[in-house]
Amino acid sequence: MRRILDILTSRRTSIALMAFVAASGALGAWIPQSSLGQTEALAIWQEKNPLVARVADTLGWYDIFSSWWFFAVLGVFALALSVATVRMIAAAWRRQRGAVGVTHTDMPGADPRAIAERARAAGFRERRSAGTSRVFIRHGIGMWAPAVFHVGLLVSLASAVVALGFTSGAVADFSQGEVREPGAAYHAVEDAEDPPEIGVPIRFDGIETETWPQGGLKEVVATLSVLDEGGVWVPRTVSVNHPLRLNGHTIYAQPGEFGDAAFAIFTTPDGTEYPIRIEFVFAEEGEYVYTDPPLMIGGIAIDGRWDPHGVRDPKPLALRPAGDSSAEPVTLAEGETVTVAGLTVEYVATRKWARFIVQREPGIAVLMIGFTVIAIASLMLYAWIPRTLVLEEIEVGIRYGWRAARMSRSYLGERDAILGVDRMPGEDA
Amino acid sequence: MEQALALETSIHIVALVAYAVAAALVLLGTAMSRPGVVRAGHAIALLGLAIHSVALGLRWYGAGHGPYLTRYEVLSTNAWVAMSLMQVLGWRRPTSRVLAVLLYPAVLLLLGLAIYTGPEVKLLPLTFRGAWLVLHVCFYFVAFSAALLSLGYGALHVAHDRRFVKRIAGLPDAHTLDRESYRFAGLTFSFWGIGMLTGAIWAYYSWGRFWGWDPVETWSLVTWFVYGIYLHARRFYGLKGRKAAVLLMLGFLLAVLSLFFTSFLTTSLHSEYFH
Repeated sequence: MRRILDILTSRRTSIALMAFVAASGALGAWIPQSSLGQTEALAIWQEKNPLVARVADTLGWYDIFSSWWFFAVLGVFALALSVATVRMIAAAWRRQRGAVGVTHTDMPGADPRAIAERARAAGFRERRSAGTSRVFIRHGIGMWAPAVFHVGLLVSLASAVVALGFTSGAVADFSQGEVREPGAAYHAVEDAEDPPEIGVPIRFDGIETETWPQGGLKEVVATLSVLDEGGVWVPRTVSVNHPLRLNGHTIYAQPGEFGDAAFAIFTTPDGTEYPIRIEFVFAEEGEYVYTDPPLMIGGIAIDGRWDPHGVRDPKPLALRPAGDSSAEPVTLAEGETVTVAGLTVEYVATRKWARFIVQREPGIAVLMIGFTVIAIASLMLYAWIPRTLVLEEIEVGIRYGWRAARMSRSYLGERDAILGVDRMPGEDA
Repeated sequence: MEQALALETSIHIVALVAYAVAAALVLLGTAMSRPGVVRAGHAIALLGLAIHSVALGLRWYGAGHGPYLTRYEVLSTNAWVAMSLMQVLGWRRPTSRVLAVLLYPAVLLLLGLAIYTGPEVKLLPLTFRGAWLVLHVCFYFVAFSAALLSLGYGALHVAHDRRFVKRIAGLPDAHTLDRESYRFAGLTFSFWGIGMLTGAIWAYYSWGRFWGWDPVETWSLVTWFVYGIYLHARRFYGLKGRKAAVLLMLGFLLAVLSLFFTSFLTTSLHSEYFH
């Protein structure tokens, strides 16, 4: 068992695992993955590469990123990374304490006290050492950098596990002024058994848009009010890229999922009434939009056109039987009633509508920690280059050892200044 | 704004000419063992960088967003970052100027390709905003330049015995070239990793998930792993010389693939980038 664990957590295995994950990733990026919803691209790819497609199908390469073997490899990789990290921490701890110090070069006639004094003056700190040698370290914090970097990697990997296990999403549709109470149904949910729940009433107050001078959306800002404990509605803004964080949940505005909604009451010939919210996506200045797909009311399909800027007709709403392009649409203004395809339609009101994604994603907090740790480690790697000077008194003078994580000429110059020599012969910078 | 855009294209061409002259002088000066000509090349490269900075600044102003969206902007900014890094490095450590024989032509190629793709302005998509995106692209720009420098040192190390390379004034010994290549590969690894993480955080704010095995993300991860393998193989198994250079070359090719070619190969959430 111990032997297997040693093999699984060896550096050689780590490198092999990295190579394997890289190769699998390359394969998964090259072959469209059905597990990622790339079914259309996959069909085209299969048609273009019939021979490889057969092999890929047999080996299960269409679902690499959700296959058991890929997860197993990632699991072993995480284990190897954990063990390597623990070993690194232990090694850094030993070095930091001065427990690792090798002397190799004799300096006859050198004065150890003067050297120690110069080392301290140069910012080196003496560490307790178990043996007879004295250990001086500068920027000892840098010794921890590789270990900290690996801790960051582990935390980042953990964020993926948290995301995989605890993420839950839903789609919420709102009309202007509509309030969503806690526990109310969503438009759609990812996991019906475990939908995200914000836990406070939310009201959609409206949405503002800004367009570029050349056309095209520049900014979309929705206002959602949250009922606080004191019973006061507190307005909060949500824009694309600036979601609203609320009670451990994130609410996203969608770039193409908002616009005007026409509220109408459709009445069938038998007198059944259907109050309908006809949602149209945002139409820029000079544009009009259609319902997609058509509305189905009492088994009758209706196409709707929304023309808020009066491009086709001064009245904004137009309706006609779906699929009949020869039929002239019937247009309506707010408050009017018309008949379309045998249905009586009363156009009651217009409101803004917007669709939001509500998501519970605890992994992001873990990822942020991972990012911070890695950023700090990177800074440590380049800002604090650790140097160790080990001195041992011998009969004729001293024997010393010098170690710098980065053996640049400047550090050798520093060493020579401490040792009180101009240049150590026979050494490469 | 339109005037700024019209002007920046012309200024970009002037910068390209300056880089072409600089590259030619450095290569000719090296081939003819004329240090004065090489120095003139460095001076003109610095002038080119100043002109290039003005061009990018005007582009930024004219387009209304940072130069990180279209092929023109991305390639030009990569060229600018690589040249800036080269100049800072050359100023801090004059021995690193030996890289100019490879880096100046590389920068020339990047900027030439940028101009060839055309300066068409694209509107910034709604999701391509925010501080995390800016951090994401900045880290990748630096990572790519570090990869370029690492590859440059690696190439000089491998070709250390060649007659042309021997003529480079102030060329460090093979060991130093190899070590510098390793150092810059480490920098690439760090910056690429941080770039991926900041990208993941940006993706969370934009698309509601921080990792989705999108082809661009996956190629980026593959590149990062290859640099990781290179660093570990060198650190623990003494990989050096030609074998190390081959692995480094593979890493660099993957970096080029993931930054510049994935948008041609596949559809991705990043499709607005580099189009």
